[in-house]
Amino acid sequence: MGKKQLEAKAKKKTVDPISSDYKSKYGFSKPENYVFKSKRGLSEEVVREISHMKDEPEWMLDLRLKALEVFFRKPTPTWGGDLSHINYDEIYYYLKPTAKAERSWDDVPQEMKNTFDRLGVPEAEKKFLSGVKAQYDSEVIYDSLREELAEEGIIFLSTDDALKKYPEFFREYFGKIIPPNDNKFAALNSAVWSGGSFVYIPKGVKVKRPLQAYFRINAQNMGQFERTLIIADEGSYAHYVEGCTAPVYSTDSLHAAVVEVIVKPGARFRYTTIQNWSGDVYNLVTKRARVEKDAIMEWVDGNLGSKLTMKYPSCFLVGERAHGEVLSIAYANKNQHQDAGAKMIHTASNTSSSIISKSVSLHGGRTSYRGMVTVSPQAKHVKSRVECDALILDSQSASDTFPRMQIDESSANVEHEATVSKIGEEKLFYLMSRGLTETEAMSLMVSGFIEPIVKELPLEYAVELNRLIEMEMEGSVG
Amino acid sequence: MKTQLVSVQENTVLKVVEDTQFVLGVAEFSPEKNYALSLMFEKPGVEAEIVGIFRLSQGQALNLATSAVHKAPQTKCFTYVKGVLLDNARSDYVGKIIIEKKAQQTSSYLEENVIVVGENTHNNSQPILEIEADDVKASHGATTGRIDDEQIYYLRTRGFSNQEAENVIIEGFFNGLLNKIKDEKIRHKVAEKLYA
Repeated sequence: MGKKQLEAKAKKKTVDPISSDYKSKYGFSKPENYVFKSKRGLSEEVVREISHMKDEPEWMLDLRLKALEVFFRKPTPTWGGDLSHINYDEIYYYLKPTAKAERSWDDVPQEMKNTFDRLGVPEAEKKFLSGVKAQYDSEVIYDSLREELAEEGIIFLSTDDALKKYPEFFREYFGKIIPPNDNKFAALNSAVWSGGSFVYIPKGVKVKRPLQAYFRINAQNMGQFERTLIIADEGSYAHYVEGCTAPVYSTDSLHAAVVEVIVKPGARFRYTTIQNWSGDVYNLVTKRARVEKDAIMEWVDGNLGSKLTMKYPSCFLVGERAHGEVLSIAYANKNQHQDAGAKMIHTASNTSSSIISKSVSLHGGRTSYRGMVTVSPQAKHVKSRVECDALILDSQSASDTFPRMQIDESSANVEHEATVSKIGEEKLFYLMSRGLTETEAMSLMVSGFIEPIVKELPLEYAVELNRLIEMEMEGSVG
Repeated sequence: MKTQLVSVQENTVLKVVEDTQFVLGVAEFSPEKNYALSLMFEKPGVEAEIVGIFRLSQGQALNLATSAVHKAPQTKCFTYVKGVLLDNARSDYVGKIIIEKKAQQTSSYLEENVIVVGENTHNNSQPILEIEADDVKASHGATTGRIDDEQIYYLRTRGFSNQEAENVIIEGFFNGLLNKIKDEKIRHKVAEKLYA
């Protein structure tokens, strides 16, 4: 983050102050002449209100209402973590961004301030993340980045704004990869969604720098029910990064996002998520990509914090030679259950996939890997490889592995491998004989364990993640 | 370690009271039949092996579940399942390893390998780990793959017919596990049934 801050400072000196018409020009923030907060609880009225407040086209309202019906109809899934304590009536389903009360820095818990300091989070980000500021001060750097992107025809907007400006994309793709009746939480999201990102990468365009949701983060983006739609057109490449390692201070108890990605022939797209939710959050996210001929989709998924996370990024490999990859880290501390995994659906010939999952549980946390690989009949010469490693650091913690392979084709090659272990005594002893304390030795071992995935992260995220692990490991021994 | 041939039923539960190798036998490869074996490790320090070898020919189906449930410390289990699928064969296997909190210093492994020889086959595998204790070693591996074309090609250049080449490769695949069966009589019995 330090680097970003420096860049921001450097730019501040050279770039002209933001023109006064910034808001109307980019629609980054909504007019503030009213403040709106939907009623608690969920009803058709609330959904109509949301759609009305957003001034949406009729078809979107219809979609929302249909989704709401599905949500009410579908039972709560019982196969994963414990979802029985979610009280849907206690939740505000839509808060106008400006309605979010800004809290004072003094109200931010000391524990959280310490975390920011230890992670080296810049001042401006600290204030945003802790809810002191509703908007993150990155407009200068954001502005110049936006110009750069616009030159190449890349669209990177909040989903609400994009729906207004580019309705044609939405009619064609919205809800097509993850239809509202896919699962209960996708239905909930479809009914009350708000915020999220829309990204379009034109044919053949290769985006050098990662697109970071961080840059255009604002209260909308951090919503409970964000909806992201990404289209990587033929032969393009981009890397999208969302989240951050600092704990997100949220009073919302339910986060149900939907992310739809379409990777067109020959394109390559990488979606990186690092999220660290506060301990009372249910994080129930549906992420799915449609991967066409010769295209590559990569999900890099880091799950920390939350009370319960249920998230299984998927790739539907529908074109010949498409490739899907999921790299996932789950870290379950006290009172946390990380139920994460991946799905690879092979429906075309010569498609390939790989899933690598690493999980760590400590202080009574529980990690579960839940995965699925399917090969349809007539999808010839499919290759898939799954590798899950779990580390259990103490006797109160637990780990599960629930993979499923359904192979309805005779030419497929599918491998699955999983191990569960603790940190080897000899290895600890070796490190300690070299002068490391037990805590240092443990955190070094954990860092090494997740290294294959951390090295795929952008540098600043990798640094923060390692610092975070070091911090979390404190007090885990002795 | 003694060896025991188990005729698995819909819900066979066995306690491991002494070190034992359990060789699985199922009566019928039919889609209507479900077979499940649970091994309970309630005595500290006991060891067991589960050995299952199957060759599913034309249109046969196997629904099998095995569970190694470790309730006592220092217990050990190896589960080995090998299968060959010929035309239109269907296999559905769930292999569980459960290690409860009290069962520290336990090791449990599971390996399932399926070779596909025929066409239009279906293979479902669910290897499952549920681990509540920390000082343990547990792992599983499951593979499904087509019979190796290069191996067949090699054998054909040595004068084997296609059928003979396939048989040699399948035999080699099975022998690795058959040879693990410690009781000679049981080994012969299993082998006989395999190629019947």
